[in-house]
Amino acid sequence: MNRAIASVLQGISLLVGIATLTFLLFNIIPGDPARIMLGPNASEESVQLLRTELGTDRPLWEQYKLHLSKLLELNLGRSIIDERVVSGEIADKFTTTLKVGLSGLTIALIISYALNLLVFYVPAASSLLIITRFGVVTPTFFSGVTAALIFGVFLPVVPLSGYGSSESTIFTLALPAFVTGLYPIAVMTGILREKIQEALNSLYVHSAFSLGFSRFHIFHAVILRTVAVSWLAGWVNLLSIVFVATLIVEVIFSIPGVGPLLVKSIQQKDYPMLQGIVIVNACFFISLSWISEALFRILDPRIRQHAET
Amino acid sequence: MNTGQLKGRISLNRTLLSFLILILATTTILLAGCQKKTTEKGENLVFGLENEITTLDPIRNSNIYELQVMGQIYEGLVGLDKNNQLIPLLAESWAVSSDFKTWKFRIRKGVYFHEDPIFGPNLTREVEAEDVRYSFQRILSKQSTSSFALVEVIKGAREYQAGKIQNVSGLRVIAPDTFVIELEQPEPFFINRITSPLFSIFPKEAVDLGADIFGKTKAIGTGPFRLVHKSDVEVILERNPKYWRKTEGNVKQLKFLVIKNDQIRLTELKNNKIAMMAIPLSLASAIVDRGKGTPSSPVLKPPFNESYKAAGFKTFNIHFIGLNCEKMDVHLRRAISLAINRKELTRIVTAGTGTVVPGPIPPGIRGYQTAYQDDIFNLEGAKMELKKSKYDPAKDKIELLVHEKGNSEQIGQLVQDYLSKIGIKVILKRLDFNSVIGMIIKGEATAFSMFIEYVFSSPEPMLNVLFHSSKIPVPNFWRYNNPQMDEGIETLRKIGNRTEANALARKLEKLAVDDAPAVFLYQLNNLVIYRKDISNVAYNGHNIPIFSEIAIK
Repeated sequence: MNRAIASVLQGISLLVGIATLTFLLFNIIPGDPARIMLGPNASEESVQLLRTELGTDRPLWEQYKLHLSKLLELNLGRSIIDERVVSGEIADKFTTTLKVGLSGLTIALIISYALNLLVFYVPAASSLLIITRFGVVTPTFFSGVTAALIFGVFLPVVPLSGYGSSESTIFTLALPAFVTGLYPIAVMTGILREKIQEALNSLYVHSAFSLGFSRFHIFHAVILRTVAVSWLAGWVNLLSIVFVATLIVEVIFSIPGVGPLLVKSIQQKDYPMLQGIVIVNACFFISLSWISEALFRILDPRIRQHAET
Repeated sequence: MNTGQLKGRISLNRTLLSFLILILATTTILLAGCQKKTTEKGENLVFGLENEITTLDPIRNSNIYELQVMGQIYEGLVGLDKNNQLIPLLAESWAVSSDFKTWKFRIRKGVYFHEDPIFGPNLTREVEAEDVRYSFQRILSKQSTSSFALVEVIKGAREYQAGKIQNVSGLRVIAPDTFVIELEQPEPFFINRITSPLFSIFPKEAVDLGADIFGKTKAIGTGPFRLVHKSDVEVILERNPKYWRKTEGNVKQLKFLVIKNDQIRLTELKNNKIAMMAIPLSLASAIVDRGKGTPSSPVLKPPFNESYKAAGFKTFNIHFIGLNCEKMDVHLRRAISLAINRKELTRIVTAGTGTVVPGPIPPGIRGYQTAYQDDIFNLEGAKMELKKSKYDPAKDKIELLVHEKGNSEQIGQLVQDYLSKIGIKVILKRLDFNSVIGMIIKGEATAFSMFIEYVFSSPEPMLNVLFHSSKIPVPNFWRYNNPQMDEGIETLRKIGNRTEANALARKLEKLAVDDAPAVFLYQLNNLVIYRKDISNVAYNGHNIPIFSEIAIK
């Protein structure tokens, strides 16, 4: 109970810290929102009128107080650029980002499982595992464009664009999800491979072989069962990395998610939108850490016992 | 393990491998088969757009892409045709008073807004003078990104923007079909201020839907296309069946598909997912044969020339190096202007898609013939001017601000190189675009690489905003103050004859080039690539495509 309260308090203080830091950073970034909105040709008189309207000409502490009080009311406000409701806009974009990110992670889960299963049956296919390492060494912006060219020019089996459009299908998500999944594929395949090799040297796996169990049964019922916690722990830990990769993938494949919204908000100095994105992301990561902590406790009795003692 | 077991295992491995290969092959075939065939033939046209469309509210326009879509949905009082000739749109006719201060517009009868339930059971209504007044007043509001072009021009607009009065006194409806605009000062060229779709007419009923709807999911105008669907990824328009003007084109559905990455957009053109796109500078050298053709009729490289055509359009933009007149004497500015090899710079920076323009007025404007047909590059002349200046090569350095837009950094590097040949040291300072603008406005910038996309369609307002001393610090970015120029600009307010006005504008252009508050470099042409079955592709000087005239075989 105490642990839960401590976690919540920690989360809240972290959010206040992030809100403050965002505010300060925003004011350090050069550029005047009113000038950006009206453009370089607008007269100083017009720009000053808009500054007053937006409240950006008020003292910094006053602006900070206003933003914090709005935040406490759970009101993220409206975009200063085009008056979109920040919470609605972020919810919409965040859903898209989650879809892409989770699809990437699911692909990673399936591929890492399938590859290890293949290598378990055909050890000669282990060279395939080396190929996956490219996912670790290639940055997402590079692998994204490369994948787009490969699948666009040489192997045009999946569409390169149109996710979120009226022609959007599961296939328009395939390539972005695959690119997002490249890094997790490499990491999770590696983790699973390592754990499987450890298990293969263990006495209980040798016993299973000698008892004449089928390879399929040994892989799933004996090996995977024992290594699943480490494998899934890797999966959960990858969520934050994948989230960042998704933002880049969204920009490359013109997916209307948080990534392009973040870039645009920074360029336009759209403070309410930027703050909203940062706060929602912070909440997401904090909840993620709570969920993974709870999940590990359920999955791994050792952690549970350690916590109890 | 005995031989039988071994054989069995090998057989199992082979079966598993075959099974995996089969799954892989089936998935590939399925994916290929299930992918929607998006070949857009006939009367549907898909245009690949490099930026998302955030809003279709004319007063919140923030980039040319939004304006290009708005130009299909909305119309203003007047516009420009593909030859940049003024055409009447919602104004059937107009007359100006003898003092050039009062403009009376007769609103075209029988023009209806796009059908929508907001208009009640009739689904539409006729455009009236009150709609024009309402739209212009909204354009002059504080939040409007297009107010800059009119706020100091229309009577009462500044007071309205400051919240001192409820209505703009210079906007009046005198009959359901007659609208009057009163100006603060005489402007025989006022009509050329309002040819851009920035000054579009929209119904109050649509705006009253609120900021979450108008411009986001609804955009109602009178243009040749009406909005069907808008998201961050696409905008779908369909032909307005009740459009008042006869058009030649046969495009029934027009879709703008957002594909931000240049390479991916080009690949989607090859895959026939899009039928048309603008050629960005990053792709120009890969697509366009620099050795053949001209910026206005580019020749495509193989294999693009087999399935596609290209066209170039002169739009009202100028790229330049601004020089702060308060920090540099006229001789130093002239030296810089003469030392820059514009022809070479334009060829390198624009990959052959730009036109050298040493003056501030882009070619193609209202019958205007520039005083400069070629580069004014003169190294010896530059050295002589430098000797007359206060610049000391031993200790002086010029800081040139560059940013992420308009190939600014590359231009900066070339300028640095050209000026080093006459002994001027240039230090490049890279900042973000908004910071550069901020420094210019504060007068802190000595030199800066910048570009202008004009919303006007005649030389007079261009000269006025850029060079009149009353426009310091914006848009007279260079803090240029010359009574001779001010007087010439004021004289332009009294000349009703277009030829005479152009002649005086030419003199002022020469003055601007001679005093060199900026080094005008080139005009960037808008290059477009499209499928061979598409014809009648045209853009006007405001960079607005005229999709209503496009024909698809």
